[in-house]
Amino acid sequence: MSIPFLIIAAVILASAWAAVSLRNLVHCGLCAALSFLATGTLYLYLNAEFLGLVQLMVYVGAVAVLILFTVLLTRPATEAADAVPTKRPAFWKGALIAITVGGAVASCLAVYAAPKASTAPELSIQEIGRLLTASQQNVLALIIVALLMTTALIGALLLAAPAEEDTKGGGA
Amino acid sequence: MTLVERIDQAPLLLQRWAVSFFPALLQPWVAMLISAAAIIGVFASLFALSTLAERKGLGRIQNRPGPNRVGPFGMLQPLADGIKMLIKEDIVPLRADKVLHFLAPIALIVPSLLVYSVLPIGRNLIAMQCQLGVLLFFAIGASTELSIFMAGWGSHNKYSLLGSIRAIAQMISYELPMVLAAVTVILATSSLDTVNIVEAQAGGFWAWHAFTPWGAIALLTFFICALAESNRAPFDLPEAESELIAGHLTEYSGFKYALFFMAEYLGMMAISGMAITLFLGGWQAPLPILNFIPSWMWFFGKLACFVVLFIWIRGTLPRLRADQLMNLAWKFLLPIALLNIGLAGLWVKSSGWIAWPISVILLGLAIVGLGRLLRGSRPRGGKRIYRYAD
Repeated sequence: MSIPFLIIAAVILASAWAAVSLRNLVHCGLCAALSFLATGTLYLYLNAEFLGLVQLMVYVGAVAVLILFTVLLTRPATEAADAVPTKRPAFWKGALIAITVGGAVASCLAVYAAPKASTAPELSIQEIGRLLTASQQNVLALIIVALLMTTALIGALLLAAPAEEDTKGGGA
Repeated sequence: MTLVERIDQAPLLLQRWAVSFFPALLQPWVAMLISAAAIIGVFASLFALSTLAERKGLGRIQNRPGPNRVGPFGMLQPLADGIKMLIKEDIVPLRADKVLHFLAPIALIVPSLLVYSVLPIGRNLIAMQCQLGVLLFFAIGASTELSIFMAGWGSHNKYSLLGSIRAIAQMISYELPMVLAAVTVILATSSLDTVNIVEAQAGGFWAWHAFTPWGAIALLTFFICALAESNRAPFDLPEAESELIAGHLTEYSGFKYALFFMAEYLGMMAISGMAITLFLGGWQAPLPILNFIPSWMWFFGKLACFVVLFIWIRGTLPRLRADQLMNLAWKFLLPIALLNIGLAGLWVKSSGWIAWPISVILLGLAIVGLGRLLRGSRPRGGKRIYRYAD
């Protein structure tokens, strides 16, 4: 294991730990963003450039902002400091989820045969594009995702468009 | 190497000469360091120059002389401003989130400088040639939203928070048509590498992407979005000094304020540089006869034109209303950009001339139709009701 890898891994773990243990929800959100950022860096370090940059764009650029906006819009900023309850009513539910997810991951790892060490394939962006569009299976998935996105976009526009009564009332 | 080529490659030769003094083990690191230092040095001084140009230009537009006291014709004004910013007291609000308040300007300036690494400034002059250059540019640019949020939230000031929320909403909305406009170029050159994109436009100005039907519209879309992304007038609602004091900049003073200011200008120049790379031939000369002028001079010349255009627009156009801002992005630019991608595909498949009339007709119809829709969508009838201003 090299030193850059250790540094990146330490940042990922530390910021993920901070994201679930800090008292201030905005700080938690920002730490989660740092964790996303470090994960993207890890991908870049492992030469998975496309994955790394998409991770940065989607998670740091969009998901982190979504989290922060949700925090801001659902509670006043003044109570953020001591908003996290000190009691833990959800402890058992949390434990149940943790055991389920952990079990699933562990059972997958148990049957997973680690590949023999080989050189990582040099995958250029053109090849990724070809893989996505050449085989029939992938094209179908791509089209379905695109349709889903378009539907979501149109839905968002419809939600955002003012109802008829509002516009007649003089720009409310 | 002829003299012309030697001048053209002067920055690279200088770098090699400087690197050759170091032991072989250190050389790649030194080369990287020199590229980074050159980018910071050149673009930071361009920032200083463009603040002067902006104050002078805006002054002339508003029929006043602008700064004219420090040095001949006020030329040393940026220097004086810099010294003033450095020695000013740094005020942190009592109830501010000290850590975020401190980190925000740093988290903003780092990505603003990082995006320059994929801009080809001249022939062979690029800090980091990367297969995914265009994607890298937008991915890093997306992280500036978080730093603006940090600034707004960390200041513990409602104006700051409002300003930063406005800024983020605006940046997210305009990022979409901007990236879609860039996609047309990626489609046409089938490459995400900025160097390849510039080389695909070699030969003269008629080979530039801006001189194709989809390229012209994409450049226009990209430019409007660039104005919005860098929070410049007429999209400077986040700072709207008459309503929000200065948005997320309100609680910043001294050098931290200067860093925000610098990040704004650096962002403006980086996006202009990207527009030049994607649509206006990058460092290519407009005519093959003019190739004796060094390639980096062409790049900086085009960049200067863009900066002047930004200043000119700031001096002439009034600020948009928030609803106009959102309508423009979602109801006008986004559909146009989507249609444009289809037309770029048509252009690639039909090899040119057939695509011209189809593109012109379709784009003309779309622009006129959507424009009418946009005009129709403003609040009509009755008198305006001011809820809070009575």
